[in-house]
Amino acid sequence: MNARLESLIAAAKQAWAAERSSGKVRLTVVLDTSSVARGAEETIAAMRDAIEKQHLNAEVAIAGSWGFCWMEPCVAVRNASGTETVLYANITAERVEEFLQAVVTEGRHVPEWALGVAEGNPTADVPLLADHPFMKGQIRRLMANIGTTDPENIDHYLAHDGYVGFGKALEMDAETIVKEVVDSGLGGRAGGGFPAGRKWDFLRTATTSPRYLVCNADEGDPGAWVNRVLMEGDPHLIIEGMLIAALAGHADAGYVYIRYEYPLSFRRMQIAVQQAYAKGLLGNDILGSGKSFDIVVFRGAGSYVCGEETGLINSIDGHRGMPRIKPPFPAQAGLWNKPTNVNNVESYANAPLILRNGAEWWSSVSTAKEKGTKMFSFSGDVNWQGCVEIPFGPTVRSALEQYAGGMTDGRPCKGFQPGGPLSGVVNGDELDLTLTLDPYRERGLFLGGGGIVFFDDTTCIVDFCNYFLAFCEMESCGRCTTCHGGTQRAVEIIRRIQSGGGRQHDFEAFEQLVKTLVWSNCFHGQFAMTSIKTALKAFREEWIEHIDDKQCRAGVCEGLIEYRVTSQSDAALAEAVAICPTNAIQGESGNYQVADSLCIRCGACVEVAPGAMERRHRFPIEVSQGAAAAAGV
Amino acid sequence: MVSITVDGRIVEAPAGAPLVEVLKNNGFYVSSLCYIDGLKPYAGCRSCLVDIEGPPGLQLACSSVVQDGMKVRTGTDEIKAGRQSVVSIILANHSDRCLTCHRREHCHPGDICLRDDVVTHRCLTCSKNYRCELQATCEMVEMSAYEPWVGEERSWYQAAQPPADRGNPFLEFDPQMCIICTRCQRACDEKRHTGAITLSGKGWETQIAFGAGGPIHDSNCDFSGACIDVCPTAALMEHPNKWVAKPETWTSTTCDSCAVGCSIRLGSKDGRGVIVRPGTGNPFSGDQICVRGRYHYDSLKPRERLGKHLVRRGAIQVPAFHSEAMSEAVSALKAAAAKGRVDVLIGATATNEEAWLAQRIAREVFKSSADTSLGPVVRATKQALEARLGTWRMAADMTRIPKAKAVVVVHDDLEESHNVVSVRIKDAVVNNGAKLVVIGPLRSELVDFAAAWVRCDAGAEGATATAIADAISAGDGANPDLAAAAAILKDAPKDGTFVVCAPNPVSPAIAGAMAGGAANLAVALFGAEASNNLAVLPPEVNVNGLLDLGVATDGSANPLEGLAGLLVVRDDPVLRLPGAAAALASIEYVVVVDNVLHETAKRASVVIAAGSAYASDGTFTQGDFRVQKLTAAVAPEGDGVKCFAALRSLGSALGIDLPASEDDALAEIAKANPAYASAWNLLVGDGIRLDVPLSPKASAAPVEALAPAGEGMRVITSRDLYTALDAAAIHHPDADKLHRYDRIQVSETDAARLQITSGDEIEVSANGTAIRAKATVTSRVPAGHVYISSLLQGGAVVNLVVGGTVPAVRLGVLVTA
Ligand SMILES: Cc1cc2nc3c(=O)[nH]c(=O)nc-3n(C[C@H](O)[C@H](O)[C@H](O)COP(=O)(O)O)c2cc1C
Ligand code: SF4
Ligand code: SF4
Ligand code: SF4
Ligand code: FES
Repeated sequence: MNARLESLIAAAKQAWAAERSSGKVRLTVVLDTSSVARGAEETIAAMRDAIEKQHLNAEVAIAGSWGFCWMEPCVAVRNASGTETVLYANITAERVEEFLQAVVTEGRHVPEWALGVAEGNPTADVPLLADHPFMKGQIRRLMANIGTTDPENIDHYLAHDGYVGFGKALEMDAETIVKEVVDSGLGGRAGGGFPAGRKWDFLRTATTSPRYLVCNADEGDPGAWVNRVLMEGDPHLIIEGMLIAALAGHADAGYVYIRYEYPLSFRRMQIAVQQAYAKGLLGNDILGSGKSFDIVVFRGAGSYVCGEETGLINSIDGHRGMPRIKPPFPAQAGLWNKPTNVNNVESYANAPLILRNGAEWWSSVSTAKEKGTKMFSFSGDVNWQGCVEIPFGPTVRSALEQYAGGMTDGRPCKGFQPGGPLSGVVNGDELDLTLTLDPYRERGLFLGGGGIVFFDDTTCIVDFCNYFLAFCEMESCGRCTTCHGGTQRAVEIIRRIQSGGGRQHDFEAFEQLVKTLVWSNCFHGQFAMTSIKTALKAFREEWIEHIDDKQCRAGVCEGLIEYRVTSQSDAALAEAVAICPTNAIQGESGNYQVADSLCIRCGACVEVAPGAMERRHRFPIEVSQGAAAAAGV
Repeated sequence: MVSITVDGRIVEAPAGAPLVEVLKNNGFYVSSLCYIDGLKPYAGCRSCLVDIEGPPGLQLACSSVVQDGMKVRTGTDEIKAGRQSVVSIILANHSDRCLTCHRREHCHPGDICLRDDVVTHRCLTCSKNYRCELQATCEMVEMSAYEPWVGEERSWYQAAQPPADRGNPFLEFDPQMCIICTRCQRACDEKRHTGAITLSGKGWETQIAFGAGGPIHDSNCDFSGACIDVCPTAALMEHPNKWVAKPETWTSTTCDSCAVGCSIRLGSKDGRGVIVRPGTGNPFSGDQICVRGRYHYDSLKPRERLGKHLVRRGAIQVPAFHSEAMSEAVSALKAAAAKGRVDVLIGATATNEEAWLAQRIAREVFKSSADTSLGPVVRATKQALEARLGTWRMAADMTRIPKAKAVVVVHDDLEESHNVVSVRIKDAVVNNGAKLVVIGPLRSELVDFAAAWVRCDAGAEGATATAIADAISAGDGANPDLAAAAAILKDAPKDGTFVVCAPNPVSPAIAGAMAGGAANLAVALFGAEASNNLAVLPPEVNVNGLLDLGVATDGSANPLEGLAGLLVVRDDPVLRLPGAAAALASIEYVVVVDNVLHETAKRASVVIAAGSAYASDGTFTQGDFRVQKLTAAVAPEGDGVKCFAALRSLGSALGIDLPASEDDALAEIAKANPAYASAWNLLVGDGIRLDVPLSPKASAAPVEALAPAGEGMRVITSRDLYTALDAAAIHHPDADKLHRYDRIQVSETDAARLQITSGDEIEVSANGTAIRAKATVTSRVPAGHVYISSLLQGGAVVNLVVGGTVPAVRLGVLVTA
């Protein structure tokens, strides 16, 4: 291997070993966007403060997220002798004092906050972390270092076989690298599944230069944050992946386009790129190999369609972030009309693993058609809103039970959205679908970039469609009549249905929109109707209830429910009258009525006066064809 | 050419052409609300659906390109239904009740709407009614009664629409009518290179915005109206005559506002101009015109023009019948001739034919030679060119400019004086990667496109051009901008380089120096080929025509001296010549033939009311010797007569036999000047370039930087883009409707020094003349200078000029804003 790389790695290993033998208790706090939101910065400040004031034999380090996002801040405690590391959850600033007293001063475990032993042997009160239900079955390759290494320190990456894959690639010719990646079966991780190796080959065989790589880190799907976990946890994995792709495709420069709402990812990637430059891993004549490659970290424009590859390219080019007309495709004319390869963060991040350990090792992990592991984030009405890495193939049900901790309050899973606002919706009775691409494709949906959103029966499917159609409407770039105007029409119809004006013709109107939006320029418009299209099939009854019977079984649609005074004598009624923000409960003592036009359906009255107020179907249930009546509110 | 099959018919088409264009050209209907010929496909309206064999589903005709053997269908049921569905979505965000109503054609303004539509939402109350592309499209795709979204709570009707922008005199924008096809944005960008229009917002908020989203007149829009030409709806409309601009007649003619000679089509109603659109066929202007071309037909309302002949009775001028006025004019001129010298002044907006008659009257009746009030400036330019090239007639063909690889501009501000030439230069820069070198004191809009800008003092333009010419061979490190310009030109391919010069319209010395400097540069770059690559653009439209007819070829620095009588045809010496008002007072007999009662006409014994150039038939000879045809598009106002007819009767009454028609006049011109033989059968619109031989010689001659005439700030003056010549001549308060150039511009540096802010009333004075106006502080003007439009306050600036050179003025603040 490249001698300079070897010495970099050797030095990094030494530095890592030195850090580990500091003789101090090491408190590695997860510092990423989710943990910051839950107070990680305050935790760190409190720890530093306590260490200094109490002269504790401890030091604080930072790391990316283990995936226990709902329990941040997580802290890994490595004892002073280095014999064991225990991972704790929910270590908020208030808990720090008590926590440090135990794990540093007294050198004992705090079993009630512990998740498990990450390094070392399990004890009577703290089991192995690997046995934690959330961790079991995960195969962490991309996430192997996340939680352990400092994402802002390149040495930590180098000490864990970092850049070894790149070192190997340096000794291969472009065609061989492409072949290795093709052989691995790595498919695009944004959801399309297009073979990454084949994409790189387009770039390799392009006839003009310069050529560019783009790393798509715009991750705009609500409920998806797997790219963020990677960028904030192990940014060099992405840089190394891009370096390998650059060798394969003879690329001259790369752009990492990071979602506007991810400032921390942006900073971490920037730091990582700077460090890579400093070590000679980027720039001219990388490690004396004669190869050159530059990376620019680019902050996105804050719009969903900038995640569409040509929208993203326009945005970097300095134009309005509008998806382009294809052809030409990016491989022919992308950034500055030069050949360009666009891949998702996770797609690039797999390349180092493939090169390091070989295509065969890499693909061996999955028994499904889709090879390798995939990161997923689970959200919605689930107990655990976390992020995992698992091989393709398990059923959604098992993922829900095992990694999302089941549905909140044990309610039934009504359905799920497999991958973003364009991906459609699946009925909860199909939880046995596997986490692979085909079953969704066959149903006119798709498994997207890894963000799976579950919902229970408190969600109304019509309201769900309203939310996502409104999202598509708001995020349309404005080019296509069919997209920006079509989604408007859909939203108008849904809102009318929700306010009690559903009509038979609406099914036809939706049908027409489904057909018409297909003529949009990009996937955004083409798939904007997927939610409705799939929901109309998977939840037909509920639509019929809304449209024909004017019933919303979830009691969500404003125009289909009403609030009513049920008891004039209940003592709490006065409270309800007082709390109503719009003074909709009108009249005088003994004769209070709700003025429907004023009521905003906030439910505050029922909360304070459950005996005096009721929320109920607005339209008589008798007309109902059955289903809604059975469900009740 | 390849062949494709459309609906079973075989059609020949160039491979790679946009399919939609081929379909339209071959008579197949495709709705295309965002595609328009000449702009890059946008594929936004999604209505141009066709069925192309091969790929699944329907395809767009605008983003598909012709491929050999393609099989296309344009009228299947699927296509028809698809189009209707797409158009219905467009209509959902537009007032649509009339568009889907079967009764629309029979509906009259007074009728009650059968569908109970709000009056303001009806096509009948839309200014674009019956000339709206959306309306036509709805008819073609049969939208009548097709209303899938009827009864929806249409967001469009509910959300408050941004208000229409009617805040400027030229261009109205009503976002409610906009279908977001972005044609306007693309036209502004691709055709004008102005980029004043953007698409802003996303989703529901997507809309067209000017500049940063404020009023149009706060953006860098230059009101060429290229956007109006492409807008399919009433979203973008001309402000003047918006409601009546459904012309009865369209006449192809030529703009009279500068020497570019853009072809226009003037729409008229009841003999009165109501709208201008770019003409067709002109190989230089193509489909572009500027704000003057589009709106100056309307610079004055007909009643503000001269509709009555006037004769002097003591101190006042009273209306007279044509015959009366004519006989008084004839006796006046005869009396003058009896007393002494009578001369004829012909303005540059006179057609060749009108000028020919006037010039024959001068020669044959008065035995004098006709001049023009631009004479001193024009002669200075002519002499500077002749000294170096042996001729003033440049052989360069300006249609080569867009294809140039390098362009040099020696100017005051070409963007303003000869706008469409500036557009073509931008074409070269943007589309052809040309390097632009700009020489001049003002920060013109062209500077934004320049690879090098050599900024110099007013009066040093010619010397600077000469210095660059010298630096090309000798090298010069002293001035880095100058060295950069020389380096660019040295490397530029000689057959791809073009020099454009627009000499100053006011100061003869500056004009001569500019032309001389530009010629020197051309000589340095092209040697003997110099005149093949140099365009010199005269200050007004038909200057080259006048010169070709022998008008103004010789004459004195003060054409008004020592005269007993003067016949003025379409000219206003008060606007052009220093001290003209006083000089006129001492001429006993002045006869004016013109369209407005300007300062000269006010001093005349007799004024014959004649129609404007738009009421004339005839020809203009443009800056690059393209002869363009004019066809009378409007009637002379009131009792007015055609200028040609007036001159002809004047001539007969004075005893000479003049040609009966404009055509006969042109025939006579061609006899006198054989170059004009080719102009005989020129096509309206296209025009024809006269044969101009290569210059007989090419040698440089020194040009000195001109010293200002005295102490003080230097005055830069030029023809601005907005002020209308005829309105300026009568001191109309709205001669510049935007009120940008009825102010004096001051540099930021001087403003800071003198504590002037925009809006302050200031005064500049020199030579016993003082001009007061509001100040505009701008980076356009260099320190130590003030800018005054050549047409400000009826050409007041000419009286600051002493000895033909750069005026120097004192500047004082009168009233602080
Ligand atoms: C509206 C829209 C939004 C998208 N957003 C993202 C995104 O946030 N991240 C991403 O990687 N791909 C996104 N994509 C997909 C990209 O266009 C592209 O297919 C992807 O980056 C390819 O990467 P892969 O081959 O590595 O999967 C989006 C596509 C569409 C139509
Ligand atoms: S489909 Fe929507 S997002 Fe895509 S280009 Fe068209 S308008 Fe823009
Ligand atoms: S203003 Fe006219 S041209 Fe511009 S986008 Fe709107 S409809 Fe199209
Ligand atoms: S550039 Fe000249 S000729 Fe053309 S429209 Fe403007 S003023 Fe008229
Ligand atoms: S003309 Fe093709 S999409 Fe508008």
